[in-house]
Amino acid sequence: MDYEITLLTTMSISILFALALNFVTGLCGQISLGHAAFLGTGAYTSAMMTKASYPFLLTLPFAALTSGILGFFIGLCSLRVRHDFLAITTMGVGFLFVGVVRQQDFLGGEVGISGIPSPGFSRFWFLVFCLFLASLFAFFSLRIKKSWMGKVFESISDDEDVTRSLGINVSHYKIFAFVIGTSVAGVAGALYAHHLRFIGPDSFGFVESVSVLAMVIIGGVGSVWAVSITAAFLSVLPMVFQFVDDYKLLFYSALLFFMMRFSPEGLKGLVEKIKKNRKSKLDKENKNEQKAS
Amino acid sequence: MLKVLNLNCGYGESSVLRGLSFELKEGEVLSLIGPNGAGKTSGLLCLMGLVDCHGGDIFFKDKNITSLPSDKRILEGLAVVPEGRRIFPNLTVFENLMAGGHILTSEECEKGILKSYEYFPILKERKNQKAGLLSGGEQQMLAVSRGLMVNPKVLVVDEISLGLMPKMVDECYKVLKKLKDEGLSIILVEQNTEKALEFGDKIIMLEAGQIVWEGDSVTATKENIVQKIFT
Repeated sequence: MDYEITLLTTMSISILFALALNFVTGLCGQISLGHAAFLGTGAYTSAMMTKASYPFLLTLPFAALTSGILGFFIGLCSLRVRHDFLAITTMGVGFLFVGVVRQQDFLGGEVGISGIPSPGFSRFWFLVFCLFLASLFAFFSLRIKKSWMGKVFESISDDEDVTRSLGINVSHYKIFAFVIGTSVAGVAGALYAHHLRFIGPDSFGFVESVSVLAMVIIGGVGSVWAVSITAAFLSVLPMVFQFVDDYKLLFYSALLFFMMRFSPEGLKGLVEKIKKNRKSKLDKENKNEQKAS
Repeated sequence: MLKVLNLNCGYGESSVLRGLSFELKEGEVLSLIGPNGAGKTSGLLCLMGLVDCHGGDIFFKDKNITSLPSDKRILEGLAVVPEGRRIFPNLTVFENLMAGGHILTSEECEKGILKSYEYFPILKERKNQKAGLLSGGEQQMLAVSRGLMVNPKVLVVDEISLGLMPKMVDECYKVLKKLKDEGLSIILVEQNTEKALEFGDKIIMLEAGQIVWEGDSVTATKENIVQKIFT
């Protein structure tokens, strides 16, 4: 049972992390290739605090705050650079984070931080807590998506210049998306640190950033449900099938390639396509039946 | 209403428009014409604050708005209908109009939407349809309506006839004429010179980023100025 609980906890944290990126990239259209840096910021903040005997729950807002502050500055960058340049900038932040952490002895340097205290719950209740946070943020994302803010995000994602020319303060919305998306990644990081009880710089490198981006793209950029399902599936796959873990990057890249080739809108697009085909087939059959009768 | 003095604009270091000056009064239409790459669209985008201004001044109701960001220019009373429609394809017609009225109160927004439906009744029928599924002409109507949502004093319209069938072009111009009669000032960029001359009170002809001729439409037609310059 412990193994299943561990799997489900990993899954919930991955969903929360993927939804955090989906908020920035999926809803607001701002690419982030260094989102693992925000996961790491939250993880290190929370781990350092619990090691200094602060209660785990108290560390969560601080994890969100430190990641959110970093996200705010990246959000400011997004006002100056766009598209490919933003991708490169965020990628740079990811590398910078790993580079800085490696050099800091108080953060454990290359070795990382081990012996992170228990969050104070049993494994089962920790899973429930992670699931609760992931569901809460999924609900929040859905609400935002349906709200007026979600529509503005979508218009920024479609055409930033036109959105600006309509009198909408694009900068505020972009910064808001970055702050929320990175704060939640920070919370996911805090959960991650207390789930594994060990963190190191390599856990928050480029591979992690690309993996989470793959979850969002394979799921279907912007779709809360599809991204959650894909994150759940892709996060536990390497744990269930060991051979996948050995070739994780290769596997994710192949999935990305095939998805881009056959369904650029991700699983969400694929499901919609199947539904549409089925509906048109049914309509055709109904018409034929009517003709026959 | 709008006064532009020696406007220079461009992208980064390169300048694409030099020395554009004109004055636009209430209810007047200015047509900017010229070949591709003349700087017409860049000039319009610069007026809206979407392209870097390298020099010159823009006065709107005697207030210098040259350094205002684009979202603040909307508040002053400028609005744009961009080239190629550029509606938000994933939003419905209604949501697109709402986006246009983002700065208004919900009451004003509702009024604006009803007015748009008056100008273009087809939009009312399509209000819950995704904008990306509309025909080219309907998308252009939506783009015009979205620009009008803020009840602007000056409407900047870029290539309204681009890719539309003649009937749709006439439909759009009919609404522009109505708006002009209601006192709206319009700056029009058009490749369809016949339409531009017919509709414009003032004509500015641009070539390679500079004014090569300016005057009124009557003189332009009488002197066959377009043919002289384009050949």
